[in-house]
Amino acid sequence: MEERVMMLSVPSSARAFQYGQRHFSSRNETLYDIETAEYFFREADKLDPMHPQVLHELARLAFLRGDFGVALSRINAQIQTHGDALPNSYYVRGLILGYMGRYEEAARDYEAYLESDPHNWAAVNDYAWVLLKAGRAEEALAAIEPEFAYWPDNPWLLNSAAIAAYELGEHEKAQEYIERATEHVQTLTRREWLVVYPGNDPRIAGDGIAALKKSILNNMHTITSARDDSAVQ
Amino acid sequence: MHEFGEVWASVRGKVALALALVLLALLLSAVGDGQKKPFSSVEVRFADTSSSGLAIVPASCPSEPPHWEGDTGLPNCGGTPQRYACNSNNQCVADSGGPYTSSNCNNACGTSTQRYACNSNNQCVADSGGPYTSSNCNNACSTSPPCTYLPYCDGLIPRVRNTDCSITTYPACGYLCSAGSCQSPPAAQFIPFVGIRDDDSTFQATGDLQVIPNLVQQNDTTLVYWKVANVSICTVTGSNSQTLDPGCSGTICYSGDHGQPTIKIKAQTYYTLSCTSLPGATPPTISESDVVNITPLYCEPGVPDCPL
Repeated sequence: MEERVMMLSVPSSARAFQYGQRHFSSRNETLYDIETAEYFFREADKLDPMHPQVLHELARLAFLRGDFGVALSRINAQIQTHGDALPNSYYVRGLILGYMGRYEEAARDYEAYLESDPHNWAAVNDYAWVLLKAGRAEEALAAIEPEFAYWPDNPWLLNSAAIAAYELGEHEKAQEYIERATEHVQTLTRREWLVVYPGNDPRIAGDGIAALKKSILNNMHTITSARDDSAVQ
Repeated sequence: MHEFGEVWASVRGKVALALALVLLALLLSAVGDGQKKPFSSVEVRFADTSSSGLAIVPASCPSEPPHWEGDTGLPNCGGTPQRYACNSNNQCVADSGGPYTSSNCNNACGTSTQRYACNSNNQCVADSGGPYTSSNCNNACSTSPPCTYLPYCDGLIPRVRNTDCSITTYPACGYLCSAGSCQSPPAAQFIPFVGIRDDDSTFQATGDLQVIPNLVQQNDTTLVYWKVANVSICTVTGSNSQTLDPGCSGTICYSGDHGQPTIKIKAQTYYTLSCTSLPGATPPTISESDVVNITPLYCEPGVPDCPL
């Protein structure tokens, strides 16, 4: 309420953007509200169409709602307007294109982002995701494995590495990775999950953690069964 | 009373605006009140299926722009990962210089009561606050040189970066420098080729100097063939003082498929190919010759046109 009063009395693009971010952080338990965030981001855009990050944030909002076409047009506008000023925009476009099934294009955007942040495990993980979907499992595994020097216990990376190894027929390696993913996902905290999905409602974190655990456990079952079957034969 | 009226008249517009703003704020607040349902994005339960039916789970932390001023939030999955070390109480604690990336220090804390550290003499000694549990400090104490020994080439000049980071420079190579050492050039080599005679028939030339045909009638000419590689320069001369074009290009000297024609041969003549090898190659020079002879005359002495 106070924010809207402030906006009416002293309208400012920077202020509107700041308010929008306040309501769009998974780490802000009390203020998270995607509709309020969108309201302020739109205000910021109206007051300053050249704001350096507002199109990026509006693209994220559309993406989280599943409006991939809108999200893509906004992030394209962000990149066209501001170029490489915000490398994260390439990451967001990779994410949107990945969800749209445009894996090769997504891979190129992840590569562009990784140039600025080569050891970002989430970017490496998502890059591996689209490579796997594009049938490039060998490259996916090659992208992930060096990052274990930095993130040896990361359940997302371990899970993706297990899938890549499995698709390459390296069942022993896949088994090792999925066992480690299973071990480390058990200790994943709500706080850690919220860092990984920063635009999400903190009240939904439990669902997200459960979905991740279920995916890894199902993979563990499939990989272990395949290994046991091949041992019997 | 009259004064109050004047004051009210001057401020009533501002009071009305303030009341309107408060009412608007209350209205907006009322609309926004009430516990909303949690927002569930497309990401929350998303797992994509790999070609073998396994569930791939993307993340999305870098989608958030760099943190705004004043935000002391968590890193967005990049940068330098948090590192951990065992403290003197055998507890695993965050330590930017720690050896572990796992928050449980790979269960290494507390497994040994004795701890070790490197002292100023690079010896591994017992130290209750030391980072190592092994009595050899994981071989980390030995003085490692500041630089690694590295031979390299600076153009044709061999150099070595020594372990004390000084640079040693050696004399320039005549031919090629590779990995900090001079490489010997290849020796001169004759290259076989298909030669073409004057009548357009062909033969297998060896590359060595060959005069073909090497038996001619007096005052006839003949052809000289050669092809030699890995040389700096060559000359081809006859004992009749003829000098032939050696046909050198780069490190190859070549007569051409058709050979080089001689002048009229008056008498037995030697042709000699002399070449200088590439700098530093062994042998430094090569030389070889071939001879052309005059066909003996068979005529009856005294008969016209018989010179005998």
